[in-house]
Amino acid sequence: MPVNSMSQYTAAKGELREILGDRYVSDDPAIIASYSWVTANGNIMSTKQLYDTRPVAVTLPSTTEEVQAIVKVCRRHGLMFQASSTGHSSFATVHYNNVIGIDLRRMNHMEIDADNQMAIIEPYVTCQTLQAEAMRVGLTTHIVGAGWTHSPLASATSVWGIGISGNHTGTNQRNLLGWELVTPEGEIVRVGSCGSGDGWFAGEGPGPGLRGMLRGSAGALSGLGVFTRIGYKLHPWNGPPELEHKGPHPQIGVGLTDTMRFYHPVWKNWEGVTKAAYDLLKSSASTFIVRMPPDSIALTLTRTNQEFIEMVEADLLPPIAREENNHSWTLLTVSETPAEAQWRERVIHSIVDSTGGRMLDVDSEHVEVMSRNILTSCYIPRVYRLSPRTTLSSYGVYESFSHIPEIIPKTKKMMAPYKGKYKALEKGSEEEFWIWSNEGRQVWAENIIACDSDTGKSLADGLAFLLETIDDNQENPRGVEAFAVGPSVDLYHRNHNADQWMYKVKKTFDPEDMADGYYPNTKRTLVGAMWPLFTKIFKIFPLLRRLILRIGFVK
Amino acid sequence: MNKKLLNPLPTDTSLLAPYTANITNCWRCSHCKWVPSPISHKYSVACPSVEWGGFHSYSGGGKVITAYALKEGEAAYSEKAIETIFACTACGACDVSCKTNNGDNIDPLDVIYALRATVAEEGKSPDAHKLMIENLNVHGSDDGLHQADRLRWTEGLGIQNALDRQVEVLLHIGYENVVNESSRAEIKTIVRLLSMAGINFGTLIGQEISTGEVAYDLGYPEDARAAAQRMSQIFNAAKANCIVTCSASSYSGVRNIWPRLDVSAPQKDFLHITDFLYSLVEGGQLSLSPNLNAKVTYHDPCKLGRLSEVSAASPPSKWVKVRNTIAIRETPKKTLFGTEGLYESPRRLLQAVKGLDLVEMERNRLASYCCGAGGGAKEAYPEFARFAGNNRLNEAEATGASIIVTSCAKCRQHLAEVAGAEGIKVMGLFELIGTAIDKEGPDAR
Repeated sequence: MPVNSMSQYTAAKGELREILGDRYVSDDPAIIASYSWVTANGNIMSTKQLYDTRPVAVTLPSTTEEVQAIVKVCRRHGLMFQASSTGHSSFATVHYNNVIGIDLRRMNHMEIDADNQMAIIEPYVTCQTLQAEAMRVGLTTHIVGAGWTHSPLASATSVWGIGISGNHTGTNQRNLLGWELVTPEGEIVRVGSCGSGDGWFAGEGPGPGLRGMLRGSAGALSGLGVFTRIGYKLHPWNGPPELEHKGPHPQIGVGLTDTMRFYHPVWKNWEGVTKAAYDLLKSSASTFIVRMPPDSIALTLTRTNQEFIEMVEADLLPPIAREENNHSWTLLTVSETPAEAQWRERVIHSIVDSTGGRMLDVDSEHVEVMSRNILTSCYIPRVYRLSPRTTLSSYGVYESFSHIPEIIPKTKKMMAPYKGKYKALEKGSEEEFWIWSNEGRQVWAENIIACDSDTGKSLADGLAFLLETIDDNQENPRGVEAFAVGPSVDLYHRNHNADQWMYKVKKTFDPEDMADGYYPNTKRTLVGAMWPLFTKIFKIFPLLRRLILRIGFVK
Repeated sequence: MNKKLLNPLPTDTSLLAPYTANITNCWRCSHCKWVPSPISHKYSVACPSVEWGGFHSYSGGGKVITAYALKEGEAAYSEKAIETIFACTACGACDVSCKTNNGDNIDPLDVIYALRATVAEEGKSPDAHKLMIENLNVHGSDDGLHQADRLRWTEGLGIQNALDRQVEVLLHIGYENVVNESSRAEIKTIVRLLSMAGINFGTLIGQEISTGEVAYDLGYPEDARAAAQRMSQIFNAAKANCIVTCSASSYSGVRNIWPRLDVSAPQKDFLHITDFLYSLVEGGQLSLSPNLNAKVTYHDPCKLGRLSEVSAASPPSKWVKVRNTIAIRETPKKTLFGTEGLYESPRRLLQAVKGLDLVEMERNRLASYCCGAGGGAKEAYPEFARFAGNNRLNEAEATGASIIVTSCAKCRQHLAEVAGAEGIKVMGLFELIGTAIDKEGPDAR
């Protein structure tokens, strides 16, 4: 890890100002504070709002060459660097006191190549604008749970990449095409087809192909350099060229055209939900497939937490948001023609009937609001308002739909004391699973943990529950251990040696640990080395983990 | 329990203390930077401040974090910190967009007001703002214009004094409406239209002062309250059935800021001139159908739009936990979403002009992009104000319109200055109607 001194900081800042101009470099405490904000989720777990470490300075480059120059300055002066785009949540929080922040806000160029169903985008392009521009040419974009305002480049290269529209828009592991990276050594590297000057259409060549290695499942998490431009896959859009936003803000919906239809079937049990899912995927009848817990639906249909509470307490929730209808799918079809829409409708009705389900009547205003949120992925950020200081997530099953009937009841049982006895998690639904299909085959099932760092107790218990679920998944593997990233890599991932590979990748691309990020550093920690032992102890004394975390967080 | 994340410690009496939970509720989703539903990449930004300043601290959410850092002694009132706070028009766009995700959890504009008041209390306001407040206290308005100059527009018009004579309508002018010839021309057109409709109206000749909202924007709530209370007394003393203001700023002040200051609304109906005149047109009392063959776009002034929602006096309320972890206010407050601003009447009046083709900019109504004139930004950071104005004019030009019309004198004046002689033509709503009537001749109504 680089070392430095105050004189090196001063010299580095001088050079950065030379390169970028005074206006685009700041070490003012009021400026850098907003790059150390601890929020709902991210790479910092804390009861503090401002994290102790701050960037030495924050820079605003406008080109790849300027990013390269910043990285070279960092190298010369023994400083680390960390890049951020929109800075969603706490993912851009720096971990050390010698880090130069690189805010990529000025790099927001986009170019859509409609014929090849792709876009070439810079880091500060957001999904909302990419989608708006893409829809005009009959395309749409994948949007991850972070919602409309996140950077697709950041998601595609650096942070997970799954999203509720995934049945139709894939996952960002594969939506990433060619990419450009400023390495920790200050080299500009183009990989995939752009590496051989052939354009941005493919991630694995012709040209050098390292996409899987650098991107992996969870993303590069700022730890392997600065991604400055990518080719990004877009997906067919048969809806209108411009969404018709309807309804009073913030309960905005979209008007459905005669080729768009919404369904909300429910079943009596998870077996029915699962069987229907397989049939729906095989038939390709539904464009979008998502399941939300009733609580999340209720939050979506209300403007404020106050309204939500009032509706719950007055028992005014519509059927779609009631616990008794929790075995559900929400389906949105987008067809090329009304005839196709009718065909899809017939198939969906047939599948629902044959699997013992029934269609729920949904108020037309709610249909519009929910349809908009499916298309724009505004659902999840709106649910964050429940627990804005701390929202964790667990499982992230990335595998077969067959796990649904097992995992949800099990989670419900595990979650019960945290919601009931400990009163540490939001009372809400008995489980908080968001489920959808990725690329029409894999299931993504993510259980939201709504707690509040206002009390260290709640945060500690939220984290204890998360660790409990990871342990459960270690014992009974269900796909990738999606939420064991960052420091957790040191603790988990031994089932599939992902940790070993990540250390190797880091050592190869950033041997001096120049890039600060959520990616593991080159060295294992003592806690990591001891973790297998700790896990065994926690299994014998399950309350010990909660107790230790509470001691750690409750001050 | 770390109470400082939800409710302030009892010893914390700072102006920001009541907003502790609002601040810590910000989870940096960045929605405050963009309009709620962008139509294109080019015109997706909601916040001129972050568009100009670049760093996150210039955004609504960034200012919320700055408020926390200053309050907790983690940052100082540096020149840069002051710039992030005041190179901003307090236009409320961030507040509207924030609500897309967060409902009333954050209310960034409330935090921004408290942050500005904190800076002023520390004596760190920009010098330009200190001068504006001095002018307000000496001359009754922040521009320092003398009463005699303000009254020049009335010469030869035989305007009645509503403090002396019973009238149907008290026409409140707004001091920003009489600072130059084009503003006065607009007021004269309004007078002409009222006369055409046979309305018996009077004004507060020589008695109008600021309604206080500008002082509130700058972070001086006590000066704002003093001005508002005085103006409230004058309004109530007027012998009129209703008050019609020509000022977008005062319309916002009375409806949105006075409740925050615990100043009672006037004991009469309080309308904006666009609403009032459109009601006359709709009721057949005013026939308004001049011709003007032009493609026109309308700029929603922040003060007339999203900042004109009626707020409710809401003393700081404790936050409590329900359903284990959800924080809500112990006493619910009215949430302002930007939906109840005055958006339609100006458009209807424009559409009453024959031949006029009204085209919308992408960012309109509650998502309107601020022109840069308000909140003391123009006075303290003119370069920023020009930047915002230019952006707005570019958006207007992109519609293909040859004229951008607005119904706020400050917006009109600022946009006209930025546009210069070469750019798109900038007109006040009543300037355009007056021009159309004149073009048609005296019978065109």
